[in-house]
Amino acid sequence: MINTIPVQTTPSAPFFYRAGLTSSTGGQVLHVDFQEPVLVFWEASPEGWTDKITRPWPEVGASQDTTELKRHEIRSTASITSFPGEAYIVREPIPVMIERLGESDFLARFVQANLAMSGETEQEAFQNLVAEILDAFDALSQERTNLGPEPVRQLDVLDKYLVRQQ
Amino acid sequence: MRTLTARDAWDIQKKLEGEVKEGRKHPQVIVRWQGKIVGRYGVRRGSRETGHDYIPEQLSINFRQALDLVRCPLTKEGYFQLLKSKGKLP
Repeated sequence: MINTIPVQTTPSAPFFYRAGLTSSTGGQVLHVDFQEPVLVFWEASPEGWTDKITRPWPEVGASQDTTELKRHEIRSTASITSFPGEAYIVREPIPVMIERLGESDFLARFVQANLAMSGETEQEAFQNLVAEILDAFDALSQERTNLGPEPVRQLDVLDKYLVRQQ
Repeated sequence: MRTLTARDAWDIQKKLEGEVKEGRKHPQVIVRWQGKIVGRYGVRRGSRETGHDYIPEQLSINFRQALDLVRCPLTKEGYFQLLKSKGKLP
């Protein structure tokens, strides 16, 4: 049985739930995708972590099978509002979530576009993600008619958020 | 806990015969199936052997499957079969 206690419930900020587990690990913080009202977590397997599991948050208490949860601590959220020195315009602020994975290991994510890049500091991860977003946009937009389903979806998301200057 | 490293990222690139393209800050790996792009990811520069756990999601697989790509149980053909079963091939 997973017990959840909301720690932070501000609609504009990520939601954190502290889960009480039956395993030896004790309470874990779940990573919540703040783009949608869902909880995102991972199940344990002998090899490590298996599929990412997404549950609408009101249902998370019904998830009985999970015995281990990966700890993800969301450090901060940020937005990309411009691309200095680049010939691209931000159409609307790009939401960035920065997670701490280890002592000197941070991951910056643009969740909707399924893009991420890491760095040794939050700032480095953020800057690496900026470059990754532009690289992905270039790579995919140059081959718009030559993409599989996931790259098509990614490019659709990117098109909403940025455009190359004419 | 096992994490994916830059070395793993390059092992996956070799297994999937991904195209390598230089990016603004780091190289990109582009995975194609019959010439179409089905996935891509960036490989972080630096000497630290950490920080690439985002790759499985960008390749539409889970962490264990990504490890299988690194360790050999999963072949390139097996990977594309997986994508096909998930409706991720064009």
